[in-house]
Amino acid sequence: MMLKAYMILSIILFSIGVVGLISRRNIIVIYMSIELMLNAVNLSFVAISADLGESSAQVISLIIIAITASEAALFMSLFVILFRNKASLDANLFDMLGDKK
Amino acid sequence: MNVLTLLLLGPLVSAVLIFLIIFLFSKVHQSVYTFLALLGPGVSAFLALFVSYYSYFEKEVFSSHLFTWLHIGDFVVEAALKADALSAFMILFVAPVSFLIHIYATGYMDGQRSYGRFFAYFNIFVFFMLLLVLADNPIIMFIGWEGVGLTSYALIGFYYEEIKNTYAGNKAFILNRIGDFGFLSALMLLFLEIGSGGFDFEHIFYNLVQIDSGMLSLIAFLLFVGAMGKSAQIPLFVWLPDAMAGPTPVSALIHAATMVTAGVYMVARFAPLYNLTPDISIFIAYVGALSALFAAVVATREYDIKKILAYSTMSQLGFMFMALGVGAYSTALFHMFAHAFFKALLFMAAGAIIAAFHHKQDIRELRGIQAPVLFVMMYIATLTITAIPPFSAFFSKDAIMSALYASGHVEIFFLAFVASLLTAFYMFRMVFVLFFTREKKSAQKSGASMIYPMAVLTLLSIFAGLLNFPEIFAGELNISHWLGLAEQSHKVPHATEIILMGVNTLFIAGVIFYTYKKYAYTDAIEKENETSVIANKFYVDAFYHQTVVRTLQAFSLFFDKTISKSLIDDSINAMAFAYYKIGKIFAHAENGNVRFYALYILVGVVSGFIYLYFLLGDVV
Amino acid sequence: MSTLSLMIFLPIITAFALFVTKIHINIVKTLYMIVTGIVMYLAFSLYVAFDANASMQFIEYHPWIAEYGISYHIGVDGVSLGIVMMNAIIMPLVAIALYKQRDKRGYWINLLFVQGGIMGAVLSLDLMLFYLFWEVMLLPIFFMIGLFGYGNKHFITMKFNIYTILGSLMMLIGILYVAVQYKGQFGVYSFDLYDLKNVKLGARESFFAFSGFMLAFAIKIPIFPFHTWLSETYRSAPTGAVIVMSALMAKLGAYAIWRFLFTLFPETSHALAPYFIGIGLFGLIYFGISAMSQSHLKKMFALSSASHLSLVVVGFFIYDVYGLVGSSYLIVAHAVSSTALFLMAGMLFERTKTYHIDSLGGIAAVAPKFALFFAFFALSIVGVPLTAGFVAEVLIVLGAFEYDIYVGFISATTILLAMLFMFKMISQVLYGKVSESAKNFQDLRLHELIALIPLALLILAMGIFPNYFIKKIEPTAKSFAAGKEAVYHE
Repeated sequence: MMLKAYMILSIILFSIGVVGLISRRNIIVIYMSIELMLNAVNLSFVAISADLGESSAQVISLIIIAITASEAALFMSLFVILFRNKASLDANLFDMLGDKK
Repeated sequence: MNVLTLLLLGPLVSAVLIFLIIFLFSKVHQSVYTFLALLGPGVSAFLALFVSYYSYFEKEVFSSHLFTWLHIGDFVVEAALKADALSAFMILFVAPVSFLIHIYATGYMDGQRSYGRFFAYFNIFVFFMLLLVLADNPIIMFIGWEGVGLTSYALIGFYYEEIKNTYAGNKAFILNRIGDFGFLSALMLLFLEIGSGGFDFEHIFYNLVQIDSGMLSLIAFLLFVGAMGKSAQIPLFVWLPDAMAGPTPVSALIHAATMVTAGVYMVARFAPLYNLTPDISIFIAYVGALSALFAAVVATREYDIKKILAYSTMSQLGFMFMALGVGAYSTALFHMFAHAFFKALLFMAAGAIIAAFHHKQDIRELRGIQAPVLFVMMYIATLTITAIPPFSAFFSKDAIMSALYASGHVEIFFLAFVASLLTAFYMFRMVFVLFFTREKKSAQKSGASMIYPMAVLTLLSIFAGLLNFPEIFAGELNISHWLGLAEQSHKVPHATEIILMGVNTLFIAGVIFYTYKKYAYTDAIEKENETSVIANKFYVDAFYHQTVVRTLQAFSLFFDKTISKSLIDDSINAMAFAYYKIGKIFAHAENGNVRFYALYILVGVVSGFIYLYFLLGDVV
Repeated sequence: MSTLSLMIFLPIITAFALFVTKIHINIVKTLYMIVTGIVMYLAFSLYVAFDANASMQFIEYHPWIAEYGISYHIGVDGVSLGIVMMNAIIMPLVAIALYKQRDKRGYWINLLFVQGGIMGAVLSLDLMLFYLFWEVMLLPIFFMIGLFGYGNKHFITMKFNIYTILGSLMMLIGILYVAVQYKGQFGVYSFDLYDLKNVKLGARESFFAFSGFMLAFAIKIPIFPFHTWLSETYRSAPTGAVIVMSALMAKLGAYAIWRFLFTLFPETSHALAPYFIGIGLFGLIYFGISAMSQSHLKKMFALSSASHLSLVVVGFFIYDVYGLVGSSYLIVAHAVSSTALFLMAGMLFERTKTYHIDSLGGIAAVAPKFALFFAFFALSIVGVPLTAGFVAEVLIVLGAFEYDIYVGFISATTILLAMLFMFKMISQVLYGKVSESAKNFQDLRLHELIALIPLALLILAMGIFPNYFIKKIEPTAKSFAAGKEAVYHE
């Protein structure tokens, strides 16, 4: 029964992350949304792992936490560079990949 | 070295040497070219007389095998030469006349730019002509046949600074090739029918009986299409008058004495074939008769001295074809023999007049020219062509008339009769207009190298008739016996023949008298109407231009612009463009904004899950 | 390494080496001359060593991707020998003629590369290998037009490439389909031509596979109605690329029909032969008449090439010894003539800065040698006697008459069609009053003569002594025709 609750929480957190990713324009908020989604998945890993009594998923979640930490450093430097370029962190300004009209 | 090989290659070697000299050295004295130009044809002429002598008296057949031209499966073409009686007869006049005209041309072309180039082409022409008459199988003959057309093209357009001359050359070659289309098709059919048993003339004629009559008629007809093109018969004649754009020696040699008679030679060569297809033979006779009459009519309203002679050539060729059509092969060949001399002479005299008179060709402008030697020669040649006894053409043309009469085709005989009267009219019209005038103009004297060959030809025009002296005058028809062709003999009683001759000659004399009254010392020529149907050559040229040339051009534009460009290419481009447009629509979605991409991923993943849910719904 | 492999890879490897190193243009040209010279020498020794009584020879076989039955399998027979010889002879001559005009490294590297590619495609007996070389030879042309072309070159080279690749991909599908069928029937993969010909396909499947191959070849040749890339591409391509396309690549398309389609799908080819003969004859006349109204020299030559290639296709589809030998001979004859004509068109452009027939004229008066050669090569296209084209046309017409009398008559019009535009073109370009553009026309220079004289002599030799050349083709043709008898007259 507990697993179901954990999973519902995970889904709610993930959905919040997705909505944040799509609807927010500030890159830092987008980053936070991504982190939220990652952690939602992490939560489900840990919960399933505990439920099954099998520890390998917990190991993976620890690795994910480590990677997220390093990602944070990477993202911080990205923010700085992006801000230097356009003096803003509005995601809509950074569409250089698209078709130039 | 084999006699025939030497005979054939002499002019070719000359031509190649001249080309090399032109190519390698920029300044060479003209005499070098003259020497080389005369060397090849000279050797050929000498050897031709030698070969003919042995052929005539010793009944010797010369032959020479050069190499195997092609050998694929059954298709074996040997590059072989053979001088049987017919070929020996042909080279008897082709090579010497070529030589004489070469001598004449050294005078005519003297000092002109491209002197060397002219003789290079001229010698190549002689080579191809000899190849045509000496070839032992029809494919090699066809090579010679096309080759003479090609050199004729090059020589008609010799004065290329005037682009119209080269167009005349184009026209000649294209019309010749329409004929060649027929010739080639006929040869291919002939080979497929009987070629596996060997494709030289002897085997072909031996195996002819195996072909069924329908196919045989088709082959005979297609062969004659080739002859129509080469010998300027209706409907492929329009190139011949235009071909007069070339230098006069070219007209004399190619468009009078030799090349245009190749069609006659070819039909005579295939005599065994034509003997099996009487319908086609009569068709040939009709075409010949109509051509003879047509050309004679047009010549009566022609003013260009060379074009008059061109139409008269076409008309005389018509006479030859009439004779061929009724199966009197040796008679036709005899007329061709005589024709080579007097027509070459006429052209050379015309050329001498033109050269002496600032290259004008209109007889109205040339009136009253003072050149006694040329006058005598031209007069003799004119008497010959109108068949006045005792000149050579009297015997040959009379033999044709009696053969036509004896064949029972009275309508052809009648056409021929009218044509021969018209011949007298237009030839004497030319002579009277040129020489019989009150006011006189002086002209430059012609050089010796031009006069001597003409003198030789004058003698030949007078006496060539002796070679085939008819039985009626206690002759032995030597040429007919020599050639030994498979003739259909149409014998007429001697009394009838004498009456025919007498009536003919009387009528012709009457026409000459009428012409004298009309044109000599009068200005009737100035008053003639130049806009009549006849003066416009019955609008045949215009008709061809409107129907064939215009149609082809319209089709060309239609194919290129409408079908290729508008229909096919534009639809292909439209496909590519549509692809591009569709891509544009999708490109809107890809705006570079990461958040949208995330949305697309979401939509994709969600729809994937929904799909999986419905697919696997039962399991969960 | 055998002669054949050397002929394929020497140019390709040299091209790669030149591509990665940056050396002076003169060294590039010298190396080009040396390599193409060696290839020409190899080709001549091959010709001498070629056994005139056998069909396929000099076979070389190495497994390559053995798991999928892809092997390096090459060999030469009478028909491919002609294209190999042309490829080997034309390339150095082109370089001699263009020696002073082209100073870009890429030009020469691409030409070397394309020589190897064509050589490989002609000699391949494995379908994957063939496909590889078939695509490889396309790339240099793409770059040459794009980099060194004229006019709207980027659009044209893209169109040409996409069009050809569309065809090639269809062929790839065909190849894979046949190979998979082989796996199904024999248990192992193979892409070898001689294995794959044993595959039994139903009529429908065979038809579709055939169409895939045919589309690739039809676009390359091109036959009606896939010809619309042709005239624009030829017009904007530089001389070297045009020569490669018209003299070699187009011929390769016709050759491939014979080599691959007739071997893999004999029944389908035979069943469809009447249609392709019809299309070929239509193309012969259509392109010939289209060429009449062209005022651009290269476009006219392009359509003239297409007209002759349609005749080649007819000759192949006639399916007999005469047609096959005639077509093979016409491939060689036309390759020589069109190389020379396009070279001379290039020289004309270099001197007068125009390709437009209307603005030329009177060259014969200024440059007699140029006029002589130009007229000679134009006449050799027309197929006058004593030139190679005449022999080839006579043979094809003979084959056509044997096939059917009406086909014979229509194919015999070939002796009329080329004349209709060639003669007018000769008159307008060479004769008449000296035009403004031709006033300072320089006659042929020595290096141009060196390039053109061998071609002229070859045309004459092939026209006067055809038997010497045809002896090498005949056994191939005969064995082919004999095989055909076995298939169709059971």
